[in-house]
Amino acid sequence: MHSLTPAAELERSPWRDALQRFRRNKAAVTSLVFLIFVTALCIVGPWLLPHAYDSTDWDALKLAPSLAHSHFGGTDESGRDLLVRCLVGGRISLMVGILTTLTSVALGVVWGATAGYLGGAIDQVMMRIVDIMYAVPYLLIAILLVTVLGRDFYLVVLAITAFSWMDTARLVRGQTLSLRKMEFVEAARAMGVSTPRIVLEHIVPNLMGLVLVYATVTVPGVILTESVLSFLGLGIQEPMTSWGVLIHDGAQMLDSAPWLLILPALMLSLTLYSFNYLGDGLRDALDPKDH
Amino acid sequence: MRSTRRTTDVSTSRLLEVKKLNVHFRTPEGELQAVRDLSFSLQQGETLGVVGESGSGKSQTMLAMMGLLAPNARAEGQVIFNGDNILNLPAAQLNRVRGPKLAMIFQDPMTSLNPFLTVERQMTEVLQIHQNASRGQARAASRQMLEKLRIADPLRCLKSYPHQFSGGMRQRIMIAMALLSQPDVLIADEPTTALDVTVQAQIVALLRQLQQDHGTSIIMVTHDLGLVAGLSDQVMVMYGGRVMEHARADDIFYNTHHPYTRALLESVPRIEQADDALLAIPGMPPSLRNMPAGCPFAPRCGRADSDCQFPAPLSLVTDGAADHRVACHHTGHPV
Repeated sequence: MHSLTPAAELERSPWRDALQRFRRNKAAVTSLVFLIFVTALCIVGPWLLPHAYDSTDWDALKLAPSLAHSHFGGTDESGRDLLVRCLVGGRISLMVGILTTLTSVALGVVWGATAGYLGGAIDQVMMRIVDIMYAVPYLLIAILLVTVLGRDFYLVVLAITAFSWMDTARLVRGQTLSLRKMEFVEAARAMGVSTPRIVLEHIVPNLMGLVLVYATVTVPGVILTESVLSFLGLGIQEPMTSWGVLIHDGAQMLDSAPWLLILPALMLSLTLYSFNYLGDGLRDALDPKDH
Repeated sequence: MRSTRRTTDVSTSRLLEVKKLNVHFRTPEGELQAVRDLSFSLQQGETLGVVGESGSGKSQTMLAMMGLLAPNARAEGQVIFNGDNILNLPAAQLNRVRGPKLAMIFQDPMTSLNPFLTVERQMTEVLQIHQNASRGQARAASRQMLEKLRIADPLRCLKSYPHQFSGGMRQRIMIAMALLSQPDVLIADEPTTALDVTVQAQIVALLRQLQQDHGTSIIMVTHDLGLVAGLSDQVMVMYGGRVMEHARADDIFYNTHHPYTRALLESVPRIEQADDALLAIPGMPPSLRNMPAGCPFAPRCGRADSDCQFPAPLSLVTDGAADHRVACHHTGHPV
């Protein structure tokens, strides 16, 4: 008789297998640890440091980083503590990155899976909408949005979401086209499972690996886009800040106070690298064929 | 004429009736016909064996009956089940029939289960959708069904993922899933093709047992005549999208009329045969693109003559049982 595999191997989901492969990837694990560390630092750091991100220290204008005084990371030309501003800015950048990625990936998955599964004319119409979205210049729309509705954190999220979900939609549609021909989808149809339920319960779980990898590489893109918007003065408003804003301000003081650029740029680029390595690691872990 | 007579002598417990089913495919090369004028009926607790080579239209017939044809396919005719023509049912109503009333087991157990969902989630789905069962109820019912299919440690099985099982186990899980809502008709499309012989025998035994317990009607699609012999009440032999011979199982095997059926029977290897005496039917089944105008088997048939340029209607045989029909100019008896 056919019996189950030994108890030790039981309840091993495809996810559990992937986790084991992921653990063996040192670069990816290091990146993950670093990201958790940076996130924790951004959340907790501003409370622990003695300065507020928006208060001016008149005795310490444009102070270089040093352990000799309480402004370890230096100050800007208004005497605001750079380290606190970097951490507070990190909160905003990471939040924009993660929140926008979640909304844009969710929209892309639902859109792509629906188009791919239904096929035919509906697919054509839905994918032409994606093409149109690609053709629209996003900066123009972002500028319009911000001008009409005013500057707001959630508006930034909305504006970036509106122009970053199409890649996911295309990717997911392609994958769904091959998934819908799988026998288990046909088996589900033969069981009388309705179309929306097939898409959500049977197709989407099979896409999660791909989507997760894609999401991790979307986060840095979104953070960069936020930087661009902020750089153009469309993103986060003073005195609140983000990595993009800090880099923008720092770049203008490069001659007299290079640390104003170096510290936020270092944090941003290390974070972006980490997300990319994490994405690589996840892709390898979730796609056993590559091994 | 004949069909009206048949209606009177068969009792009214007819569960499923297929009348003049035709399946066409729209392709870039024009329209192809995969199934031609297919008719049969099935009573409660009865087993129909559908036999034919690849491309004979048997799988397309089953998919048409389940409303699962490819988007470029079109089915004509009637599939009457519980008084409704399934071919015309809107999607929502169709979903109330397939699954709970009309279930299907697919050919390949390795790909018919969703790799990312636990067995429990897949099994209980049917009950949760169609019978509004709670999670607990659905789990209990699934567990019972797995026990019935003699799966050791069903609780553990429910928590596992498909890749943890062998092909035979997966097919049993598929069968359990199909039987969970106690369907009236179970369509099994080559359920044992992907399995090794000993597991095949177990699956067949299980199906027979379950049929006795629940009174389920079974349509067994296969190219294995041995499987059909052991299980079926009636047998339908298909070739090139048409029914070649249709009779009670005994009549097909002991009073074979159609040259194609005979050729199929002769090509079944027998244990007492010498190794080199493996008989095969010469030639290849015709492709849908160049189907012969007359009898589709004529190009490969030893008895073919000029009559065979014209299609042979399915008619009663000259000798033998009243419900033995054959589509051959040489052995049929025109009505």
